[in-house]
Amino acid sequence: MSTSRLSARPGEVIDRSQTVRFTWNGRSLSGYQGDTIGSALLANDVRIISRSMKYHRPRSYMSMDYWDPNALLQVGDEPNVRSAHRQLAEGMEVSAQNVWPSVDRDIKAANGLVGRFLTAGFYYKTFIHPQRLWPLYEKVLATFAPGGSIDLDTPHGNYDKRYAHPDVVVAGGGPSGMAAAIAAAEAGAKVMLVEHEYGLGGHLRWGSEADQAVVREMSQRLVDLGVEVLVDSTVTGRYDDNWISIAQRSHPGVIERLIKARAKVLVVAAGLIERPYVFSGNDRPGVMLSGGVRRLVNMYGVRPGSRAVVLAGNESGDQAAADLESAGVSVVEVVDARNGGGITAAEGSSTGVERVVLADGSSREADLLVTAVGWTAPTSLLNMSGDRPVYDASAARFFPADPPETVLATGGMIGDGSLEELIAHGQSTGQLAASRAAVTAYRLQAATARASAVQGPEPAWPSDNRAGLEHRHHPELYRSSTHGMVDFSEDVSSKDLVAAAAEGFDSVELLKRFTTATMGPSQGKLETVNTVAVLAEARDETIAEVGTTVWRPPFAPISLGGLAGRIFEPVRRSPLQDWHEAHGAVPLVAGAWIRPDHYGNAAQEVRNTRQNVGIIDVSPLGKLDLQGPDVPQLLNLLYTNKWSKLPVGGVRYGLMCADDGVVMDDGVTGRLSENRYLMTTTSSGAGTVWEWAENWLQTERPSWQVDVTPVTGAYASINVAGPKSRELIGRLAPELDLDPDNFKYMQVRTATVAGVANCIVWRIGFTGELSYEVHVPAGYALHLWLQLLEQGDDLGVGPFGIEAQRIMRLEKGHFIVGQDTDGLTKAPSTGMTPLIKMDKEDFVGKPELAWELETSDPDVLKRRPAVVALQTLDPQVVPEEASQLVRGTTTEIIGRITSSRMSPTLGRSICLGQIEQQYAEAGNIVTVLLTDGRRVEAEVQAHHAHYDPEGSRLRG
Amino acid sequence: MVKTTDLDLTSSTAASPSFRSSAVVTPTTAGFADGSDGVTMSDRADLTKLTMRCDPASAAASWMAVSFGSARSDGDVLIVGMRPDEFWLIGPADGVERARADVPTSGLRSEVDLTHGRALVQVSGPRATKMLEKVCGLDWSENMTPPGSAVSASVAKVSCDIVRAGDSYLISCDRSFGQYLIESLADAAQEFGLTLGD
Repeated sequence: MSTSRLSARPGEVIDRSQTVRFTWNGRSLSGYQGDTIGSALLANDVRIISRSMKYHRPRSYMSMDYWDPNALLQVGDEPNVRSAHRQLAEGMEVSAQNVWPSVDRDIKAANGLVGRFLTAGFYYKTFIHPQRLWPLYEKVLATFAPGGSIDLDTPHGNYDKRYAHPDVVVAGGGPSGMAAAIAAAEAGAKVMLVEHEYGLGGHLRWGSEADQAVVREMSQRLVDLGVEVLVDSTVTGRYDDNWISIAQRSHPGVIERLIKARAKVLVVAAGLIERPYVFSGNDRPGVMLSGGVRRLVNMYGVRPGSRAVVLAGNESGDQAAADLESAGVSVVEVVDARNGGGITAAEGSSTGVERVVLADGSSREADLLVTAVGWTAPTSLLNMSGDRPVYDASAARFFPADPPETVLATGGMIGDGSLEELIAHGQSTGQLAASRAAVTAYRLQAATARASAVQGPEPAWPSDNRAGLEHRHHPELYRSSTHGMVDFSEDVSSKDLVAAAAEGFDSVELLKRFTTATMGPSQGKLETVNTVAVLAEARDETIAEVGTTVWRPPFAPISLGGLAGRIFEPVRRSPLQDWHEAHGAVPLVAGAWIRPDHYGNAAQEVRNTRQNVGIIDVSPLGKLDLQGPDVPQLLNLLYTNKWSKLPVGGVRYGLMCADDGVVMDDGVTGRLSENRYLMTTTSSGAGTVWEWAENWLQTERPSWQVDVTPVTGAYASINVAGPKSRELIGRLAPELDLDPDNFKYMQVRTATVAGVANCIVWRIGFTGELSYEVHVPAGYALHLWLQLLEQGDDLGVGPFGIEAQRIMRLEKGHFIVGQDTDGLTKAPSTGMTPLIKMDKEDFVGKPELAWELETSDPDVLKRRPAVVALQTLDPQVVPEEASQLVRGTTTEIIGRITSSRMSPTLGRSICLGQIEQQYAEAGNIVTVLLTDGRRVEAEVQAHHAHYDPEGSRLRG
Repeated sequence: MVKTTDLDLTSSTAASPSFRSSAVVTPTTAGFADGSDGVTMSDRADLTKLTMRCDPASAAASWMAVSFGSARSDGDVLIVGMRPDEFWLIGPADGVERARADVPTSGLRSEVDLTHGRALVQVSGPRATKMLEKVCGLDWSENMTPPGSAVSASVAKVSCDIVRAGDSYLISCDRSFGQYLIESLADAAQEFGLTLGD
């Protein structure tokens, strides 16, 4: 391998016996199992891996963790991979993003030459005029947009979702987080520990051998206690009542999994994130943070440079210097910022740092500059809980203030201490979390009817007696005397921020949005406090006075696939759907239902049904079993017509309106026995009508005795239609009296059909033909269907699909609620006025309909829509549904076509439409505006029915 | 309170050889059947499911001896308090018929046989709870939803009625969703090891 790979380190996480091959911009390279993409690239002496967003400046790794702002790379089809975090895998094809012709020589770096014009707001201000050129601007600017490339044909892979109800969620698996999880589990809590990185341990992972022994011991304890440990997973949000979202990237078999956890207590142990320093050249390849250097050397055995200058504002700088020396790097100077030392610039060429200029003006030759200038507490989850952290100038960082009592913070984010002190604080936090979770659990259990009975009295709410952690002094080190990058992801410099503040964007929230500082992929983890510090300096105020921006979810970006999770799309299937599919039915998606549209030739299906006999599966038809003495009252209330005198065996059609008189559903209801009725609804309205009936019964008429049971799925519905249907049914139900005088149109019987008892047989139909609709217990549907085909073979029986049914119902002029009516169609517009019984005491929609029917306002009467049948004068023109009806040669809209088909029975085009009443008279000629712009004429018909308006066929 | 051992749901209605279940559970449906025993899933659609509605204060309701949201077993029949005035009798046809004959008529308002109307899946095994937790947002810990609970909840976005009996769950939904539900449960069970029951 390369010269940058060190010999084995004691705590390294790579397995040198497992070589992993990958490519970088097409070049074959190799790393080890356990490497990140970034450590493997650096081990192969690949230094420049990306170009900055705006100026296309060469960039390399800085923090070597999830938040590294320069590390977004393309891996195969996946853009924006965080290469300092993502583990290397065999065969990965890694490349730089948005560079041309290459990452080493990128033409767009010319942007850097005009950098002083590309200040914050440049795009907003420049490309707004002239407005008509925006489409052109957009096209050109899009080529400059960062973000890799995606291939829309790439298989999207699987994402997953799960729910969880842990007592305690611990966010962060460093020493304090692990200690909290262990203590909470020891106290009996169900604990979920979530760690952002691939392994537990936090900063101990790149620490001493003793540190790592502690990690091993605590990890084992977590396993023993049954704590659910999720590594490479992020707590992305905290919402009301501790609803916690977790993005788990480590679940086998899926790319990402969203966990929706309802935790009783959330422990936030998110640690500290190292802050970059702002100075001239701070984004040059070779400028790294002390944590990044320590990870690289100790975890991956990679030497980050050969001659280093270290700016040490804290002991992490000293430790980095020691690690570098042990790795054979020559540390030419440790500049101690605690004693006033400083640096002003990292100078060099396009390949990286060559010289470091110190505050005294002297310079040192070096290819590596390491900064250790302080920490940011990632308090996001606390902010999401309502906390507003406060700034402590002496410790140079923000600390949590007053989070809710079910959100507890521990570890480095609340203070400093030895490893023992951090662990002790974690332990006391875990104990407190467990005891508070127990009280919350008690309360939930006591308040939930189905839960087990609670034992004993409610425990007292445990008070917080934890000893704090001290705030150690740390020098405030934000910006040197020179300017440099503040937001590396977004290419926003301290100079940009100062200029924006001078322009008036001097509130931190405005500054953020105007400059986009903190809005890049690292989401302010590295940049927020530096942004605030630069603004404070510009405003000549303190950081505490300026305050921070609000940290909202997600804590770390989550993929759209992860948010979608497992895509649940419930599908409803008739018990006959398998048969339909096996017999060539073209599927029709109708809401959640899958239905047979046709079996190859809908027109032929129509002809066969009109001439012989056809069978159709109408199982989605909504069905409600109604029982009880007050069913007639309910029907009288829900329908516009009268129901009190419906005899047993009788069937009636009903129109159902909402309170505003608008038609909401229709269907037939039959009386099966003295106290039992079966109501049918439209297929799409089944759920709504059930809820509607229950709503009236439970909240408005609670004294009525009616039991409503949805039985849509219980019965498969098969309509047997055509002149030979009586003969076919007679063969299958020999005991059923089918004499037309005894079993008339609009009657219902209970019968045994094809040996299946308890079938319900209706003489109704949507097709206009003599027809019988058999509702058969669904488990026997296939048996009946096959019997119908077998027994009716000599009668010419054949199946027909939804399309043939739609044609036949249009020939017959039956309107469909929701297709020929809409959300404004009131009952009188449907031509069903005789069914609106205003002499009934009450029914839903009556007051509104009374007004509708009684009004004499000529304008209302003229313009009220009417559902009418229409025929085009040219019988071959079938206007598309939703074609507009206009007045004469004008474009004044007077209605629209709601249904249209070519009728195989009549050999001509037929339509239903809605039109203003003043044009609805039979014989009127109106103009149809076709979608291709042509105008054709159509005549309003006297009846809705184009075919057999007298109904002699269906009554036969 | 119901225990798994109280339930013998293996005998079926099977009223006729032409009866077809709401769902077809095959290794293909499930994606795989690896024989490990984390979750066992069985189609119980052929069990008789009778709903009885009665006034909560009546003799009929007292006979049921279950409150709303709980279930008990009576021999091979499960009696479920599914809504405040709605009880379900689930079991083999003859068992349900026996129990039905015992229910006092006083206060009994109506009954509907939903044997054909509901898909019914039994999910059991040591990891059944984990599997259900994955696709259903309720808290399935024993304290919050103890064995003997009967709840209505969304499972994989389908409105379901669920009875918990020890580590065993009876999940039912409208028959038309049956195939989808069983496929969704099989999908959810993959990570736990799925066995297809009888």
